[in-house]
This record gives sequence, C-alpha cells and structure tokens, in this order.
Amino acid sequence: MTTRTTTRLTQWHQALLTVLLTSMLAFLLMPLAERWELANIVMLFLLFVLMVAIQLGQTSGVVAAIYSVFLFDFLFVPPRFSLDVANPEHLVTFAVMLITAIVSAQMAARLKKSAEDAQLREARTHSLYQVARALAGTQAVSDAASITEAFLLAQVGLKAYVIVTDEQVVQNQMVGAAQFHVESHLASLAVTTQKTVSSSALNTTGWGCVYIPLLSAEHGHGILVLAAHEDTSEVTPEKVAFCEAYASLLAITLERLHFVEVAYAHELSVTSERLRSSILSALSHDLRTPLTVLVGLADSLATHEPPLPEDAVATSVTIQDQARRLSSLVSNLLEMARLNAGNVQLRLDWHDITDVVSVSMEHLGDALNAHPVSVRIPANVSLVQIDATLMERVVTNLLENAAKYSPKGAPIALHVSETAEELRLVVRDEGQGIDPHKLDTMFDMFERGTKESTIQGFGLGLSICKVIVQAHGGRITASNRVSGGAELCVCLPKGVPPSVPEETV
Amino acid sequence: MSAKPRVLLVEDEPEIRRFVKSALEAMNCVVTEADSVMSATHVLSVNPADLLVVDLGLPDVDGQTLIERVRSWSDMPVLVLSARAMEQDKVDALNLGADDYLTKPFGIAEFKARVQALLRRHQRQDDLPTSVLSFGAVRVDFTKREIFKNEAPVHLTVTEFKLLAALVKSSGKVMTQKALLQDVWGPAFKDSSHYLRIYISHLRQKLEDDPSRPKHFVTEIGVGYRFKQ
Repeated sequence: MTTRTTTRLTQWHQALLTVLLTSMLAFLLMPLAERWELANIVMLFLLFVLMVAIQLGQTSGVVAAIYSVFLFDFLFVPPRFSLDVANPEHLVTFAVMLITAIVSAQMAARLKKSAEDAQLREARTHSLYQVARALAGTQAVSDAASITEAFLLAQVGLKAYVIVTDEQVVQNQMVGAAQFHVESHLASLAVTTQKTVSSSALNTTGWGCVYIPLLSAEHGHGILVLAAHEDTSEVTPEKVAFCEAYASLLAITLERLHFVEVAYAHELSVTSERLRSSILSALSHDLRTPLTVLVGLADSLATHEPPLPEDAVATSVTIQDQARRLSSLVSNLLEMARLNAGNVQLRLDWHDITDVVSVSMEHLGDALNAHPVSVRIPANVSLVQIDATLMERVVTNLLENAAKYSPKGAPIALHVSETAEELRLVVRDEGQGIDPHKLDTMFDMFERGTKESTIQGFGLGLSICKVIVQAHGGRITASNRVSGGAELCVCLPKGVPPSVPEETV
Repeated sequence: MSAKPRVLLVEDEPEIRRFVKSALEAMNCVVTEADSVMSATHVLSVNPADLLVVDLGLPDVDGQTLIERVRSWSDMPVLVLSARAMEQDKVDALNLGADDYLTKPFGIAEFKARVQALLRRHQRQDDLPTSVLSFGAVRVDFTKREIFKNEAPVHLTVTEFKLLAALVKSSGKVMTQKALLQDVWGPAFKDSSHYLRIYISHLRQKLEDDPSRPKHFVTEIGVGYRFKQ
C-alpha cells in the first residue's frame, strides 16, 4: 500500500495529462472532420474517455468527458472553430455525450477500485493463513506476541501490543514492551464489555487507541492494543476490522497455550503426587517392619512354652505395649505427612458412624480398659459421606486423648446426635479439663495438654483430627464442662444420603 | 485332614519369618519359607500347601501377583500380611482371591486365630453346611428360616436373611463390601455400599446385644465386614 501511493501521480498531474491526451486525440481527428459523420467522431471520444477512466481513475474520466465535449463543439461541430452551434440538435448530442462519458467513467473507475479491493482482500486473507500457521507453531505467549507485532506492522502499518489477562482482571503482565501509552481503563472496559473499544481522540502516534478483547469460547485471554505507527498510517475502520479478524486467531492460539499449560501443570502434580505417595508407602513399610518384628518377638516370649518366669513375661508384655504405641505414633506421623502434603484424596463413601465408632473402640482395646465407656448412637442414625479410615483415626484419637487425660476409672462418654444439617459426635471425659489458655492452640501441631508430663504422646492427635474433619467440610471444637472434664465435639455435614427402599417381608 | 497342615510362608523379612514360623509350628503346622514371588512359585510347583501366608510388599513382584497366580489353579486359603496403610491394597488383594488379611504389626494370638479359622473352614468346605447356628444369645435355623434371640422369635426380612447367610457362610473371614453386595443384591449393586450399611445396621439392631458395640457383625473399616461366632 505504501509503494502504491508513491507511484501514483497526484491529481493535478493526472488532470494535466488527461487534457494533453484529449487535445492530442482532437488534433489527430481534425483531418477526418469533413469526411466522417459526426456520430462516429463522438464514438471515438467516448471510447477515449472510458480508457482514461480505467487507467487514471474517476476524476480524470470526468475531466476527459467535459474537455472532450468542449473540443468536439469547438473543432468539429459546424460552425467550426467557434462555440456557437448551428443546429440545435447538436445540443442534445452534447448532453448525451457528456452524460454517457461521465457515467461510463464512473462505472469504469468503480470496477477498477473493486478489483483492486478484491486483490487486497485476497492478499490479506492469504497473509492471515500464513500467520495462522506461524501461530500454530508457537510454544509461548511471548512468541505469539512478537509474531503479532511484526505481522500487524507489516500488514496494516499499525503498532500492536498484546496484554495477557488472567480471568477478568487486567494484570500488569506485559508481553514485549509497548512503545506507546496504554490506557488501562480502556483496556479494562474492553475486557469487561467483551467488545472492541476505540478512542478517536487518541488516534495519534504514541497512544494506544483501539483495544480489542481476545475472546475464545471459554473465556477472555487478553487484549490487543493498536496504535498509529509514526505519521504515515492512521487507524481506519477497515484496519480495525482486519485486526479483529486477526484477534480471533490470536485468541485461539492463546487458548491453546493456556490448555498446554494446564495439561503440563496437571501432569506435574500427578507425578509429584505419585512420588510423594511412593515415598510415604516406602517409609511406612520400613518403619513398620521392625515394629512388627518387635511386637511379634515380644509376643512369642510372652506365650513361650514352657512359660518364662513371671517378670520376664511382664517385661515382654511391656516391650510389646511400647512397640504398639510407637506403631500408632508412626501411623499418626505418616498420616499427618500425607495430609499436610495437601491434595488429600478423600475416599468418600456413605457410612454408618456406628461402624467407625465400633472399630475405634476395637482398635484401642486394652487402652480403654481402665475407663468405662458409654456409647450412645441413635438406632437409625443417618448415613454420612466420609472417608471411614480417616474418620476412624479421628474417633480413635479423641477416645485415646480422653483416656490419657483422665484418671483411671473415670468414665468416658461418646454420644452421637443429629440435627437437620449435621451429625454431632461428642466425646466427654471427667479428667482435669483443658487449660483455658490452651483452648485456642490445642489443635495446633505438637501442642500438648500437659507439657513435660508423664503422659505420653506428641501432641499430633488433635491436629490430625482438625485436618481430617476440615477436609470433610466439618468442624471440631473443644470446651470445658461445667461439671469438670473436657468435651470435644466433631460436627459433620450430613448431605443427602441415597435412599434405600424399605422392605416389607 | 489328619496330616499336619502344610503352610507356605512368603515374607522377605527374615525376623518376621522367624516368629511367624514359630507361631505356626506351635499350631502343629509344617512350614515352608520363601522370600520372593519367584521362589514361592517354584516351591508351590513341587510342594503343594494347605495355606498360603503372603506379605504384600515383596522385593521382586507384588504379592498380589502371587495371589492372582495361585487363584488361577488352586482354592487354597490365602492370608495376606500387609504393612501398607492404604486400605485399597488390602481390598485389591481380597478381591483378587485372598481370604483374609492382617495389618502389621500384629500379635501372635491374632495371627493364630486367623490361621485357625482359615484352616478350619477349608477343611469343612466339603461337609454339609451347618443347618443350625448359635452365636451369643441367637440361634439360627437355616433350613426352617427361623431365628431366635433369647428364645424369642425374631423376624428378618428376605434381604436381611440373605445377608446373614452370606456372612455366616464365610464365618471368621473378612468379606469385602463388593463381594457382599454382589452375593446379596447382585452384580448391578456392587457399588451401592449404602444398602450394605443400612442392612448391617438392621442385623445389628435385631441380633446384637449392644448394636453400637457389635460383637458378631464386625466392621473392617475401609474393607468390609466379618462375622464372628
């Protein structure tokens, strides 16, 4: 386009050339004036006007038409060499000649322009295809941005700048460096309205005046900002339309890059999750194996035939107890490591809380022997959607704590009740209660009820409970009872369990 | 079975093998040891066993592969020892055909009880199933479909009775949730665990002395249920 403007003659030169050429034609036709019919000479003039219009454009066509009529009258129509007309009929000839010449000149010029437009469109479509291929090969947003800048400068002579946005918020994440001023409020407007925003007031060098949102089926990916490049080019509606077509290509590319990133991030998290779980399961195996040997060998000593002396049996029972305690500690630590690693995958299923409670009691076994435990669960308690293995750890930890922090023989109560929205599991003991200063921190890691005491434990139990209950969308609270002792309450959201048809026979 | 039961113990940790072997020998078993799936397969090909005790985390191939392999040609009882915290591994092993499992660390008494239950049931398999069964205060007559608790008749629905029968059939052995659902409700229900929860609860309400602390219909968390006589 820029080369075309330089080769084209200015309007004045064209008009001058037209006048010259018309005069030359008239001069050549002079000898025929007496011998030819006037009508044939008119035809030659009309043909000439048509050719001038095709070659030099509409203005020259009109100039040629008027000047031809003048020369025809002056040189050919009797009386010759005067503007007088002998026969009034010739006035009609002039009128028809003028109208025909002007109309055909206009039509010819229009035809030429539409042919040129079609060529330009074809060239742009071709260039869009080529740039689409280039964009398809990009691996990074910055590549797409630099292709955009180079392409739009070459095709429409505009400076372009790509702003990548995340979701609906315009971030200051700039790709490349804008060599013009970007109006951030216009950019935000383009993002929120999802329409091209342009400001004619900014249509000068150094200011971004058109803001095209980059939209794909899913969501907006950013904005394409356009600015005039020096003074040779300015922003026109056709250029904006072309840039909008290009913007849709760019949006598809950005969407593709977005999904490539999502897929990569997903793959990374799957890999790290696999690594983490294999490390934890190896650790679990390596820690449990010596504990299994300890428990097993101590147990074989206790059940040895013939029986060992009494104090040897007592020692082996103690070894076994301690090894089991260590094992439960290891379980807690591993569970905490797994939960703290994030991405806790709950194996949710509908469960009867009775199952969880009974397994916990079974699990604790001898540890609860010193305390009478009263369990109260409504007969037709609703099913809850939980990870039973994890919830069993919660109940076990609560009961174990209650047993640990209350004197021998003190009763422990486990009551389950339900409201319309949630299931409440309460564990009460009759121990010394919780230090009021610690009610806030007791669910933190390594926080113990009694510091440096003879009561064993790490202070992991309650923090695990909290993590597990929260992962279930529930909450855990602690309080002191008026009558003494602590009360821990777990509330779990009930949800809507699937129905089971009632049986009649 | 009058001869001493033959047990193949597959475990890669020699110290664990030592005390498990002594426990088995105290039960009058003949014990053969293997420390990998490969050697276990080799031993089984020349020396058949009446019970297979297998650790899931073996050095060469996963213990589950051995269970699958053994199940393709034999119905010998298989007891799984697992150090893994993940319930899914146990469920997988049980669904592949293992009969029971123990989580490490375990006591000798617990181990002996499991082995005994497996050997006894395997022995009994050819006999006619017992038609009358008593546990706790409950007496069940399977031929007449009559149930008494403390000599008072108890009504069980058709499904409850089917579930009771399925559990009793594998008495002492853990039944996975999937196996129970398939047995009682059919293959289309194998993921409808809520049916199982509701009906187990019904059985406990009707037959247990204290339904919130069941003695006979015992939960194996994350795995399934076990009937204890």
